[in-house]
Amino acid sequence: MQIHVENLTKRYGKTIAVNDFSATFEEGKLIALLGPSGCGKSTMLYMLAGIAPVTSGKILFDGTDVTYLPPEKRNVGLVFQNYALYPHMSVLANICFPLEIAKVTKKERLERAGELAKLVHIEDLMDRKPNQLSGGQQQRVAIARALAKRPSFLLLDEPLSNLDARLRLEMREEIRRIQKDTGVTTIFVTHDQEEAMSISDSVILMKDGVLQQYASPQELYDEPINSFAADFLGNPPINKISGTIDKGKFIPEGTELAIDVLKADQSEGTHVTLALRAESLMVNHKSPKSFPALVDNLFVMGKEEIVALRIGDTLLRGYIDASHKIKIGDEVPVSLRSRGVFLFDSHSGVRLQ
Amino acid sequence: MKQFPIKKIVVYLLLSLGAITMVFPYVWMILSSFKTPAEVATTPPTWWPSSFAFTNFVYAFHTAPFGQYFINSLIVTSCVVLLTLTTTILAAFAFSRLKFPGRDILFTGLLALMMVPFEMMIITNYATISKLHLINTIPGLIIPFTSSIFYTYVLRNFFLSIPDSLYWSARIDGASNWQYLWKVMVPIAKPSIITITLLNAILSWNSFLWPLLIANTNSARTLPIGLYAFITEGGVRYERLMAAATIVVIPMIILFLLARKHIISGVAKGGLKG
Ligand SMILES: Nc1ncnc2c1ncn2[C@@H]1O[C@H](COP(=O)(O)OP(=O)(O)O)[C@@H](O)[C@H]1O
Ligand SMILES: [Mg+2]
Repeated sequence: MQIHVENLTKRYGKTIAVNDFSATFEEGKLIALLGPSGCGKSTMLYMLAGIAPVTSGKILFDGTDVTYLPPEKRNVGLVFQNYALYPHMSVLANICFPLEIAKVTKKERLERAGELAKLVHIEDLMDRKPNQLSGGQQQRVAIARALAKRPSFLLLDEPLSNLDARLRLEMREEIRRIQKDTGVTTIFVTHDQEEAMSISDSVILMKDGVLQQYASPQELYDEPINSFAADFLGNPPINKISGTIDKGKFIPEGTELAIDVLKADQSEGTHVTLALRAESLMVNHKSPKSFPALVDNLFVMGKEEIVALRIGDTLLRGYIDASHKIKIGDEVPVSLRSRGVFLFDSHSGVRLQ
Repeated sequence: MKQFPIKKIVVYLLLSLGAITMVFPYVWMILSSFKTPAEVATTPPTWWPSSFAFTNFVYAFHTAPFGQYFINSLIVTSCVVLLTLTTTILAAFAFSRLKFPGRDILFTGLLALMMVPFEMMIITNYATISKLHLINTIPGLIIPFTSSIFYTYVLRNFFLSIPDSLYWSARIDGASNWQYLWKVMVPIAKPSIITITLLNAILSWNSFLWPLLIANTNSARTLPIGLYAFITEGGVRYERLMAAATIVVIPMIILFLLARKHIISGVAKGGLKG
């Protein structure tokens, strides 16, 4: 099912949890809602599920307005961050609960529960109570329960944040697989960019309740729309140098350098931020446009090394092949690739280039 | 760690002492109910009856309609417990889960009412019941005791401790408020509910002051009032009195023995003090 939201806004008193949010969630996709803690991701899910009343705006499911429909009439599946399994019921009873409420016959209920158990790999746990399950197992049960009544779409609130690191990797693949197997439109919330980037078809980046960018993971990484998006994605974090534009060149703050990176005219004297992905720096590489930088530190990482470079007061991180011969304190030329080099207005964060 | 057994012995000794003190009167009562008048009056008192005679019980049942009292007590207690439980569960749900204007003020008001001692309400309750022409009837014994602010408060607090996400999960799973209450909340609160039920049953079974005012005829008397009438009308004959008291107490002892596991776990889990 396709979900469309229009100018969706949610206020809690003076806090605006979600602000004028418009987007379309395409059928059959796995979509990540990404953003720092408190940016309104959960609130967004709760509005889609019908748990949090909408302050203003519209929610359409396949073109039908459901903005004021109660949760039980929306046919959605929701997995809470704490899983919210019914503690007094066995795993089987938990999975069957939505079907029991829907007055599905016992035979069909058991059949469906069997299918789901197989899908999420919990066949051996059906008689256990939730408190006899590990976090990952509870997660699987919660997903199975959410899928039991064949929801039009599935919402997952921080599905991986309560799991330990290894399980998180495993469950991340599992969620992708389950989504592929069922084909159900899925929206999952996360504050971890790597999680969002690794399994989703598209990512919605949010900040302070406002949608920043809605794109595929690759596009989000390659073409961030503003400095927040560039900052939020990527590991190591993107390098940033503040400076000004002078005679068509970028002048890093507190230096005499003039870096030739501008592809088009920019207004002279603007305060700008040059953002460079670590892999966009070609360290110790001379070219007509290269500029000098001081080697501040070297970190051995195996085949490649990470090198910390100093330009004025700013430290940049780049990669260098382990066969290099540079030492701490050397001055090396640095060239830039064309990918992963962005220019932002320092005040508004708007992308200039 | 070496002194641990000594500590344990001391604790057990103290506990045993407490238990004996508590149980002694009951054992004395039951044993005395089998004794002859002469044996009850001997000094020094004997512990074990020389022969187990049921004459006292037979006498008790003959002179007073203890069977009728027993049935009355059973009806009153069952109705009080069931009705209180129903109103308590519904009120606790409303005050914890439903949102309506003035909810918290209303609840605070109810809590404030708990300050009013029961004795003060007796007069107004009496006036109400007599206007309804329910003096000397079973409903007159039941109606004033069909709700409890205290139990509502206890259960509301328990309901509040159940996370919101469980409620919303149930709603998304298609459940109505009503279904959520009975299929999720009540089963989760089972230990608290059982404890409330038992405490209320004991309270109702033993209640004395109200029935004393309302029930002046055999057809409406409950066991404690019957026992009281038995003393005043029949004079003090300890062995007969003990037999009658045994009849009154036995059902509660049986109930407690049957449910003691639940009572203890309920008190431990629900933090409810009886
Ligand atoms: N029930 C609520 N009452 C008041 N404020 C809330 C409530 N729920 C969320 N908020 C506020 O709304 C904002 C967004 O919250 P949330 O959607 O939970 O963020 P996220 O899930 O992205 O961490 C936060 O500032 C939070 O404090
Ligand atoms: Mg959240």
